[in-house]
Amino acid sequence: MRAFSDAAMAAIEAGTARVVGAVEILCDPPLRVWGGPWEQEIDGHDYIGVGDRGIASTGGAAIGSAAQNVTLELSGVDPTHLELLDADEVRAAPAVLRRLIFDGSGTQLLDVHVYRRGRVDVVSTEETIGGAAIIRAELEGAARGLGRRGGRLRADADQRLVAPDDGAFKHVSYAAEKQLYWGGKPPTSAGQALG
Amino acid sequence: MGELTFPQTLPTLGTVGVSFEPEEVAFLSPEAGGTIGAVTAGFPRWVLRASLGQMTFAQADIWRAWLAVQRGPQRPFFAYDMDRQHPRFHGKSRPYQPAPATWSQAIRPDGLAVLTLGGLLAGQVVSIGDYVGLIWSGGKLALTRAVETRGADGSGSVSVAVEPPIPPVVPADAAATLRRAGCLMRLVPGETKLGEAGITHFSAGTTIVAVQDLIR
Repeated sequence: MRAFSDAAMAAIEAGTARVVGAVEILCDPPLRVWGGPWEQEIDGHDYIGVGDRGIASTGGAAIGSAAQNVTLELSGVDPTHLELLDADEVRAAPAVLRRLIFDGSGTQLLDVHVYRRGRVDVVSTEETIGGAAIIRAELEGAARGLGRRGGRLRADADQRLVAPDDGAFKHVSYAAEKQLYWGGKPPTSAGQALG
Repeated sequence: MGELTFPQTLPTLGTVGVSFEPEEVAFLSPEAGGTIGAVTAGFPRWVLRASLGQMTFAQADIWRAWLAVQRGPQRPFFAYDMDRQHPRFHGKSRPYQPAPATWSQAIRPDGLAVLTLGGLLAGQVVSIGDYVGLIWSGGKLALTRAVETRGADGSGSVSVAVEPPIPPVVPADAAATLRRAGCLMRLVPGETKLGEAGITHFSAGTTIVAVQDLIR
């Protein structure tokens, strides 16, 4: 649940909101950048302005379904931002994606809220000779196997490799389809359900 | 030892068409119910598009040298609207003080930015389309443009609505100017093209496209 401040909500309804993103990756040293042109303080930390060189794209997500990854892209990277790749343990480092909402004039910060929390999953670089350098970092949402190690258990056979006597996973393959009804048989007609 | 210093200033020779406008990246989300939502991504930035006509070889040499030394988008340069290097109402013994002594910006509740300039001459006019530039900490630049015409009062102070608003990063002690106000830009590599040398003249068709570098 995201609670916007009243001023931010009014700006969104009026169509005058200006939206900018900010990324915090808690590797060592921590990396904090945002999409504006100046240095901005958010929750007590200074964020370096990287402008439009940073782009965050997110897939669609629905309530109740699996969380989507967020892909962060930093293109036209200059050497000061390359320290992201030099940082220790950037893989699986906690990352916070924030959204900043400014008023239409771009001078007043109306609201800052956390858009997504996750961990850095895959960091890839793309360098074209004579072209732009791009760093791409995928943030894995909290719902998707935080800090997993190796492969994931999916089947009865996987679990039997770990513990030969553990047969619990044989139910997994059809558990997703199992329908449970609270208190007896499902109603077959509206009259039955209401009456 | 060369004499060139950076950032270089944009040459103006041979320019036949100029577009110098603030650009917004905005998205519209019309809904079936009739509401039209809109949201703007990031901050506005100035974009320059200039096309050059036929030039003499001497003029073309200046452009070719300038483009070469920019090294594509590598070096930011000082860009301004070539058509409006001074306010519209200057000269002809009109009151004209190009350097306001003070400036301040107020944002109205409806989001309009109103710039108050002090230390001008009584009766000096800041016209619609006049540029106001700000410079601070030895070379950082911000640029805005008046969207209404207002005359200075007896004490030389004028309040005029501007677009885009001056970003909050500009310190209060930044120096304001009305003369050749500009900002730092970088060339857009794919769209900047150079014309060709003919037998008697350098042909038309040179296009210069540049966007403001907000970070500098």
